[in-house]
Amino acid sequence: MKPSKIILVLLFVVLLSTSLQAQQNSQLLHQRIDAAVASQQPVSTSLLATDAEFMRRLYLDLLGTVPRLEEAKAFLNDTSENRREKLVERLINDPRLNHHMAVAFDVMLMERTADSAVKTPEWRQYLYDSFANNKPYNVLAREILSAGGTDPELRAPSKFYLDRKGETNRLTRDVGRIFLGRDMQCAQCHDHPLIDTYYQADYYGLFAFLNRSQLFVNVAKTNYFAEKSVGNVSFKSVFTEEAGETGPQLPGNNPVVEPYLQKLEEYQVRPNGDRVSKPVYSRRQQLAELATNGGNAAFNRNIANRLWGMMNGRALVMPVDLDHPANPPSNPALMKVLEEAIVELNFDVKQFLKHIVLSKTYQRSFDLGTALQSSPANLEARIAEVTELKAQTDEQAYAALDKWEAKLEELKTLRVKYAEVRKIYVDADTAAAGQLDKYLAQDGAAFAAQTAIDKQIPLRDSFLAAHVSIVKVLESLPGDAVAKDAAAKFKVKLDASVAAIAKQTDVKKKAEEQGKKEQDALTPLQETLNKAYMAWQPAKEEIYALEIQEQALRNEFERLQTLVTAYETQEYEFGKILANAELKQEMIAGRQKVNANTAEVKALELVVSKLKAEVLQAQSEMTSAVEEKQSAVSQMTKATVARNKKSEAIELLVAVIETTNTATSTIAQDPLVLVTRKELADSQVKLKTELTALDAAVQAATQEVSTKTKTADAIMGKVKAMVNKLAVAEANYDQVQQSLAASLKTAVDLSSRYDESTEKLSRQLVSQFVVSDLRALSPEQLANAMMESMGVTQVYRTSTIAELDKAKPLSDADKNDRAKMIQREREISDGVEAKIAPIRSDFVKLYGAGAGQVQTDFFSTIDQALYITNGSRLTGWLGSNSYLVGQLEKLEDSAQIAEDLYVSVLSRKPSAAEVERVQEFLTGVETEKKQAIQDMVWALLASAEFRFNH
Amino acid sequence: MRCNYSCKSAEHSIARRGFLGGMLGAAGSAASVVGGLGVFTNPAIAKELASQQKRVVVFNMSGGLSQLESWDPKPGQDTGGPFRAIPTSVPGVHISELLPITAKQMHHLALVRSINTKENDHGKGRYMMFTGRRQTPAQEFPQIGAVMAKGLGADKNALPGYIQVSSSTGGRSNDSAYLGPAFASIRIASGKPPANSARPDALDEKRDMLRNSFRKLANDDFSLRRRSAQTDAYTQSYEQAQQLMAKRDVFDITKEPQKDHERYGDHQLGQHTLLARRLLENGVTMVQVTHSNYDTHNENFNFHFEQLGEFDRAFGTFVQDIADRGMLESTLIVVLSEFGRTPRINQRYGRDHWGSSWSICLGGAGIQRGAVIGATGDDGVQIKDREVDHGHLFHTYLQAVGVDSLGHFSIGGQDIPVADPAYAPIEELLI
Repeated sequence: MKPSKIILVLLFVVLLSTSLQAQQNSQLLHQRIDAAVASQQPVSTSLLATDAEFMRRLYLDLLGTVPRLEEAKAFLNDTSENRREKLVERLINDPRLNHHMAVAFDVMLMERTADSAVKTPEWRQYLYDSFANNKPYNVLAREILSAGGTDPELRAPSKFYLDRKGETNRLTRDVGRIFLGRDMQCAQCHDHPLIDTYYQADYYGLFAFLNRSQLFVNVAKTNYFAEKSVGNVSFKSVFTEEAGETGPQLPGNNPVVEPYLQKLEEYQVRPNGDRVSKPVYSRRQQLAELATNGGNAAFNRNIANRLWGMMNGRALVMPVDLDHPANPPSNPALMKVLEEAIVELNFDVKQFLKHIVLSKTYQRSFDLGTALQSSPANLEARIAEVTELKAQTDEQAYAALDKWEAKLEELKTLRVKYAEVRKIYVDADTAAAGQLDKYLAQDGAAFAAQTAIDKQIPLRDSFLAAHVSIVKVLESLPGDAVAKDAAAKFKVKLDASVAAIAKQTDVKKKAEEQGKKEQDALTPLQETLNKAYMAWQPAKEEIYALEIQEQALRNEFERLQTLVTAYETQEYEFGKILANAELKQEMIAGRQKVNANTAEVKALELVVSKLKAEVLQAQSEMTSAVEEKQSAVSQMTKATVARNKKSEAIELLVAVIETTNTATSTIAQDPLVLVTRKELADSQVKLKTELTALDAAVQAATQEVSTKTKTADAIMGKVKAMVNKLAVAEANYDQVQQSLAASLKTAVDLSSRYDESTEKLSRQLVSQFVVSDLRALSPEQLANAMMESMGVTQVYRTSTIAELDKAKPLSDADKNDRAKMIQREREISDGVEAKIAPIRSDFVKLYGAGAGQVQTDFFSTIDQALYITNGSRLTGWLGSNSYLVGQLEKLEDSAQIAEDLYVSVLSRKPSAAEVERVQEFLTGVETEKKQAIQDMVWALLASAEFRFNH
Repeated sequence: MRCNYSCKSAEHSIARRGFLGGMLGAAGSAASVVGGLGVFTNPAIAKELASQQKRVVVFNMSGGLSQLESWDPKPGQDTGGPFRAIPTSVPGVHISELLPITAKQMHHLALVRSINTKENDHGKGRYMMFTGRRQTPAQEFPQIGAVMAKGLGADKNALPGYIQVSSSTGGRSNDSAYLGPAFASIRIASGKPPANSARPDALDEKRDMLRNSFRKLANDDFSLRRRSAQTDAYTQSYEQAQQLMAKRDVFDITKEPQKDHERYGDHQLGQHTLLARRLLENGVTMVQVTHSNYDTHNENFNFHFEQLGEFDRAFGTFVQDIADRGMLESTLIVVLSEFGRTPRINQRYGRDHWGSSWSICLGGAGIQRGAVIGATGDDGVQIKDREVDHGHLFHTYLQAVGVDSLGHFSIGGQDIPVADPAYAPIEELLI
């Protein structure tokens, strides 16, 4: 590209982006989504999913199931302009959404980890309530990240930590992956070997929020996640031996500024003595606050990316837990729109999802069709633009890297400068913390003793009271054996209780005394620590100021680097689309060549056949000429034979005449001789005359032969020439036919390469959101969809409604009360969910990935296919009590059967060919109608169209 | 790693290219990606193997087999116990007299006598031997069977790729970690084929065929609009299911001749081993047989006498059959345990847990026939030569069937090493 052109392009891009910016502020989110997608789209497309496809997709994504037959029919028959918007609005407010989200978030957060401290039903209920009450996602996350299990109201969210056994490394990995989109596991022992921006220090920055908390099981065997006030983090690379220390720090954020507290004031609830410790300053609380307050880009981006992926099948950053500059979002502009939007919307998940599904981008068709129409020239121009942008951004990234690295050096120097004063502080802190622990051990012992005393006092009091009353009884009934015995027993109990109290009081006193000593020992250490802190604090602030600058430079570098790799990815991916487009042109050229060759072959075929006809004609001509020649030759032969006979006769006659002449000379004048001689002479004359005639005849015959031979030879020559011509033409024909075969092979080859390339291209087109992704239903979606399709859910719904109507009948007034009706719909949905949830576990076992593993990867196994093919669950659903089979069986008209079958199972109307197929299936076999219906329902349930969301 | 330079030298720019390189893995990465036949280290071999699919059988001597009563006897030593050592079909190699039948097959097998896993806990030892790695809280690793099934592309077969022979047929296990459930094991008992492999009574074969053709027509229509590897795998799984339904007999050893039942022994291990043979012959990629229980803290010698009596008969016969049927070249045989047992004999005539110097037996496929790797001292307490552990062994098993243990699996966009990259195979054990 010429420089002037480059400038123009850049100018255009700048203009575009500024105008985009201006436009964006006034646009609704779903319009901003479409604008961002369009701004980067490599090929133009306007193809949208059909109403039926949109409906099925929306039901699966929002409600985790397919529509009921009557719901589907109602929507498919709705002709209003805004029918899609109305459907979105209805489904966003459908109570089934809360159940689906509870499942989806459970799977996302727990990855099917086995239950331990908190059971799944309680946890699901918590998630369900969160969505039912539209709790913002960041509040949900904050509850989870800060939960320790002590607050009975917030016991359920402690599942995240407790069911992972509170293991710090596992939690560091999973908090990083699930809440921040970063799997930094490999950076635990060294800087990440494959991802340049995951540093060991980053891993431990996150680790530092969590390592002060440990699983704590109290005497009553309840699990808690208890936090202490101490626990510093240092690490060392197993590769470079380079060591580091870090305080808590979230990716992309500044280091946390932590308060300085006197040792004795560090705890709200002190550890030991069966207490769940709680520090005044909690790092975990900091994590919960700082991650979720909207100010951490990683957190915002992670949820925006995951929700986008949940709706579209394809997330922007994939895998969702490897967000880093070398794995950029497939569309950075869209990522930016989404991560800002989720904050603007105050993490309102439903609103966010609503805007996603309202976008044209969400509603794209899954047909590749028009996406493949783009011309190579357009794509080349697009790629040139991207290349230019990349080069430019690359420059900026280099500059940013230089700046960041310079700042790192500066920071390193400063850290070295203050290493000594820091060490003094850290040592003093370690000493004081050690002493605090000793004190806390005593404090805990005293507390435990007091707890025991507090427990014992009411016992003692009741024994005392009992004893007092029985003594009174004994006073009035002296000598009563029963009373006496009872009094003695109470006395024993009372004494034991009093003794226990005395013992615990003693334990407590000793612990307090020892505690006092430990506390006294802490005082000088605390003073030393205070002094050391005073010395360290200004240095710390100086370092912190620099750290902030360093972080900002790092963020800027990473931002630019992300863009560079995003452009590079686009170059690569657009290149694939271009290659495909070029392949398509090649394929078209190949086909044209085949056509041209075919035409040539046809033309030559004509020539050859014409020549063949001519040769045939000439050959027959030649045959008659040769025949004529042969007859002339035989004529000539005959004439020659006749002439020769004559000539022989003459010669004989001459001999006789000569004999006569001799005789005449001896017997002169013998009249007889004379007469004979004369007769002979006459005869000779006559014969000579005849011979002359015969000679003439022979001559004529010879002449004839020569003429005929000439003619035959001429025709022969003509035929030979023709045969030669035919041979040439035939050779040509063979050649053309060979090139046709070759071009045909090339065309077939190109065609299959194109098909293959197109199939792979769907990856690029999906990543650019030009076409919709094909994604497998989750185990829960699959189970729900099967039950809904076959009417199993419908049956449960009917029975739930009946139960509710009986237990809580609605008056006519209630039925007109919108709020009450909404409430009733929610109760119905809860009742149905309670009935179908246990059935889903079958599907989860077969279709779900292993516990603790990523749950979104597709796999297909024989045991799944066997379950669908022969399993008793499906056989039962299709069996004699089958709702759907029963409904279909009642229908008389086979076209109607086809329609209801397809709408029930695939949420769409059948094509004409499909209707015909159904009719054939119903009539074509000997099996009865019911069986035919069962078999068709099964076939559609087992089809790829059913298994995938598209 | 961090770039510690701020100039635009060639070095700088190359390093930054490296930085960018990660994401275009598919385009330019030279790292070998493992899975299916693509996994094999060289294309010529891959071609050859396509016609001769490799198989693996693992005998798990659960509880901890005593090396002194099996592969590394020390007769006449304080630690040696009462049993003698006997010569084997490999000149100079002796094993315990408890294994007379196996001794005749030693020329098909090899021994590793210098294992030090430094682990005396059943669970942890088992984890290490079966995954080739130490257990970590943050990540779960797939077991050898799953790695083999994945590496050898077993998911393409009609039969389950990885079967644990068991006393009851069960569902899919959770032993494939990040490799995904397609490579997890299925427990199978003889005569009890996988769940749902029988057609329901109400459905005859013809009807099943008809409904499947209706299904195929629907799939054909759909694939005209969009096809993907996923849709193909899904539709294919139904064909695999039909094939499996036709092959249910494979899981039934009553179809084997009575003579073979007698040869393998009329006990559970004998039956399980016979089923293993039948499964391997029918193309199952990975079979695991467990023999329990060798945890002989008491009466070590009596127990081993009884247990190894069963094992020797079943295993020795199995090895001979595999060799006789020409399957040895394609079948890797491994006999392992979670650890060995203490050379010191305790007061209850038992031996305790011992991970510091013990042995395994393996053979077939790419394993040197008759090889003995490493050695222990006279009393068996110390390793004298070529110390190895679970990591080396794991690499060796994989290499022996042509899976590049130093390569990567590509899992959900991430490259994950096939085996612990800190280790390498035992080269001298491989052909």
